[in-house]
Amino acid sequence: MTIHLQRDLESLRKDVLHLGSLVQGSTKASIDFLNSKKTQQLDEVAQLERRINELEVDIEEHCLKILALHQPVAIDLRFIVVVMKVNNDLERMGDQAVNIAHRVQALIGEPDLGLELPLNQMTDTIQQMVTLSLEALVNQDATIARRVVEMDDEVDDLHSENYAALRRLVENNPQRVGSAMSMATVSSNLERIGDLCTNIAEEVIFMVEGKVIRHQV
Amino acid sequence: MSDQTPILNAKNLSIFYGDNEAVKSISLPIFERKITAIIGPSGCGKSTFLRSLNRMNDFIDGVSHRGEILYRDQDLYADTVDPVEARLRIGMVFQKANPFPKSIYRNIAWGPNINQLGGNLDLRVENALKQAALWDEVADRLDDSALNLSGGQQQRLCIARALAMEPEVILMDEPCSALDPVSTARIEDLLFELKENFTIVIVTHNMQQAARVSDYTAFMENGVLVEFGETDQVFTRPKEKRTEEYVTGRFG
Amino acid sequence: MNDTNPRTQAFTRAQLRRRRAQSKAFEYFCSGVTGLAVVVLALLLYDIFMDGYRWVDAQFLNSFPSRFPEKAGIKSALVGTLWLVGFTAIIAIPTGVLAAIYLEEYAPKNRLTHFIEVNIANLAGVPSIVFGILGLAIFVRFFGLGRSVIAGALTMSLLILPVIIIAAKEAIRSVPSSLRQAAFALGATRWQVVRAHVLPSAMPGILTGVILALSRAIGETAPLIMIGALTFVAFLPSGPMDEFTALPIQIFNWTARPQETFHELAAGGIIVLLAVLLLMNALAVFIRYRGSKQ
Repeated sequence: MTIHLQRDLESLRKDVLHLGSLVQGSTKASIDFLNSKKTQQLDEVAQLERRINELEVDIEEHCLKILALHQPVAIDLRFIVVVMKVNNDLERMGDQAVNIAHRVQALIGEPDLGLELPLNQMTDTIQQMVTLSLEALVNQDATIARRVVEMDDEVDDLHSENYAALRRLVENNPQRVGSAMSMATVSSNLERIGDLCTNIAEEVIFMVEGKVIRHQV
Repeated sequence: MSDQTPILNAKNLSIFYGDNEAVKSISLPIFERKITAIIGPSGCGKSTFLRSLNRMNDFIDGVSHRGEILYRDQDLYADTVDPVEARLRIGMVFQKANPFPKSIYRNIAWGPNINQLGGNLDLRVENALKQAALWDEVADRLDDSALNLSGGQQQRLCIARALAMEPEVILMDEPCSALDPVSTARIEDLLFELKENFTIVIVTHNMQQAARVSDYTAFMENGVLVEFGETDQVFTRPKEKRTEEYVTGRFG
Repeated sequence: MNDTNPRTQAFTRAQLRRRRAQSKAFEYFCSGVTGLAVVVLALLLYDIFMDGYRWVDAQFLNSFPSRFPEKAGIKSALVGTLWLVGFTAIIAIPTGVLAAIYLEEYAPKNRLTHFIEVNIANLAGVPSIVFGILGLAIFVRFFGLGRSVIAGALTMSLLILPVIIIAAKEAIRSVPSSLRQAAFALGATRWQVVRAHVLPSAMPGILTGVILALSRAIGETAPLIMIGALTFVAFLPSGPMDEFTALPIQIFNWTARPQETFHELAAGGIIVLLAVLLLMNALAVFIRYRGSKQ
């Protein structure tokens, strides 16, 4: 019995990692779109979004199957429960990437804001957070998970800086408010992706230590 | 964990077959009107431990023990204790149904008869069969031989036989291991009802069964008590690594 | 079966044929030997029956022995045998069964018990005449019981006691321990368990052993001669202290005479003896049947 369960769990891990890389790809494509304003990136984001949605449904079905057939307990059970939540989190990250792409569409044709916002740096950080949080999940490593939680502070700080810079811009150039708001939303989307990674990390800590640390400061 | 006094309490109990220490210094409480399951791999000593709770090990040559088993704070193995009387309070159901080759009625009535428990015997038999969820199936043929019943029915008959003695504790040694899933499910449902009036200790190698029916679970391995706790804790967040490995099926 | 290699196919078939032939041969051998035994028995019975049936009638059963074969009967021998078997049964059965219960249920498994059991097994093989000598010395002479029914019964009891004990022990041992465990778990003492469950379950086996033992007792001549059962008895015993004769003695006595007619009378006596045996067996079967119906 346990061989079948191990096999199913292994395949589930692979799927989750695959979903993570799809999300990372979608995020990268949307930020590239922001930087280059080339429409093929938009198509890429749309395609990836479709695949993300399909895989999310598959993973959920797979989890239900494992619960029904194997009735896992203890660590295996906690793993399945966490995977189902992580599945949701990853899909929402994909939605954020799509939101970014839509915001960029609204910016096309508008003159450049002239601000050097550290959006690329934010993107690098959150991409790393996605990688690390999924690594923590697959390897059941609470230490890595805690590092992800710390990295979110960085992302939050960068978002606050962006927000402040954009506010100053609008105060001085009120007519640019449309573009500024779009950029603010993009920064907010990236910050939201960081938060979702933190969710994943907290759920991993629950799985490994059996302690719920959500809703803690 | 319940903070009431346990009805049975093993304290540093070791049981020996000759020189072989089959049960190694176990301390385990059994709480009243709760179901305690004992799980563990074959040969880990759980049946030996169970049999010591109603002094059935007395019949095996060469068995000795250290430590104590307290029944309501009295040493069960004290010289002043009559094992026959102990078994009136602590009954047992065995792995393979072993009804007497007599009628259904006589199977249930024999125990109360020889112990002169008094009261209306017919009523006692009926109540026991009802509590064991067997009455409806046999009410019209109480004089039939017990051996004509199916396996699941025979086991329920053995449960009724034990219930008729009105014990306080019922020990069950893998009661469903010889039964099909439907019979097993019926007996598990039964346990849930019996819990209201009886304390139950069940030894099982079927972990799902322990998870389904019990309030407390004890995990034994190689004669040692590895972990004891409330069942939901043992199966969602076991404290010991060995326990986790066992319940998830990772060793063996 | 799905072996498509033609070479192994042929090999398997030939092997299978040989094994089947061997099996058949063994079967024929066994039934042949059995048939032989049955044929021998049938011939014996036929011979006896042919010799004696003319003599077996009410007069034969109701007359005392006499010098004249036409008037001779086996009344005293038959009645003597019945008295003898009756008392033997009363003495030997309870003693044997209780001893078996003690040895199997109560005796600790130590060297003394083992020693006792070995000795009982050996006694079962001792020639019956030895018991006759023993009976003569102890019961007839030492206890002063004389040549009485009771002395004969005590001697025969000693003879068949080992057989009963061994058969009863086997029957008791074959009662599954799960039955005992179930009874003990209900708060029963050992005696309650034995009386209510072990004995009833063991009863068929015990009865078989008892019948075998009594059948042996009925046919034994040597010990009775040793303790002095009389050979020409024209009265019936009216109490255990009376002198007596028995069927084997009477039959032996008749075959020792030169006249042919007495030999035929002996055959008649044998027929009666066999009839008594059959009746005893039928009684045992009946008791077992009644017992198993519960």
